[in-house]
Amino acid sequence: MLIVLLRAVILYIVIIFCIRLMGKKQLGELQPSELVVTIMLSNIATLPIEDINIPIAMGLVPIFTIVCLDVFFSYLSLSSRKFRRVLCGSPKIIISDGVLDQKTMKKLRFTVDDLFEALRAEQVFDISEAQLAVVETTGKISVYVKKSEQPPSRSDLNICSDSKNPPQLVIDDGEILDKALEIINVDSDWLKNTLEKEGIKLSEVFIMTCDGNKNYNIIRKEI
Amino acid sequence: MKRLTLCAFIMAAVIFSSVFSLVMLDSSSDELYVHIDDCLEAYYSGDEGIEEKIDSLEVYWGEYYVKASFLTHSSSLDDVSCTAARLMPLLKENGEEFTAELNSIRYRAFLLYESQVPHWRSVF
Repeated sequence: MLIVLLRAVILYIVIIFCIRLMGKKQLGELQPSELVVTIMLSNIATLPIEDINIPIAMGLVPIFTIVCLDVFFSYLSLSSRKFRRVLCGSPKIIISDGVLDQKTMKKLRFTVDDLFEALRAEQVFDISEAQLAVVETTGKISVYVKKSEQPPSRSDLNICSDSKNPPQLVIDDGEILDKALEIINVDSDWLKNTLEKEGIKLSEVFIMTCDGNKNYNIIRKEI
Repeated sequence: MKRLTLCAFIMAAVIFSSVFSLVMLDSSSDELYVHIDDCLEAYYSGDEGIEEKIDSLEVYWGEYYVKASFLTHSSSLDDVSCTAARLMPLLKENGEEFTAELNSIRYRAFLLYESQVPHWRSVF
């Protein structure tokens, strides 16, 4: 029992390390190769945990090998478009100018239900409203709605608006986040002066957000 | 790039440890064969020091077990441990089973090494 416990702890740490090593891409929409890696990792990791007859090295070696290959292949696919095509496939246009490409649909083995479900998820309820729909390599459908069907934007209505970054979290539970200060272009002296002006100590701040125009919002700690 | 370097380092470590474990298993098996041969030689020549040789074989088997347990199922090693434990009583019975069991330990060690060598048939 204790062996299983220790192995579970070791493999948990190893898998966390490996997922971090593979990068953020692994946590979002999965490419085919990434899906394969994720499935294989979860399967391989459980074998030495469940069966104490199997040496833990027999689990660690394939895990590290697969993760390293995944990282090498991602770097290769960055440098070669052809390799990327082989590894991840290529996006396919399924609707062009409101016309459905049935040949591609058949090729992708997409049913009408699959297509309509994906279109509805993009707020498109009529195929003719779609200017372009692309099946991405992750299987997700991206839809570009016809201009005539799109709601008017600020620029269409000639309404001026300045683009600025959204507010950043600058203090988290009494801790200053230096990276956020850099993003909104303020320094820690300004932050300290602001806290003094508000009559609040750093340790008493639960959350503080601030934008590039130095508009801030402070939430005090209640507990 | 840091990630790529780290992966290259891990991959190198994995390859090195795989090759090293195979070399280590090979040399350990060779030493085990020497111990087995010593026991067989002493048995056939009626040497009185055979009991010491069996003792040293059992001690060496313990070391071999620890090394091999990093590479193979412990259940198959446990079977050989049971065989090694039977050697002394079998010697006292003075039967053919003693030599048969010694050869069986040698063959199982050989099979264990062979199972780790990447032959065409074992990879595919």
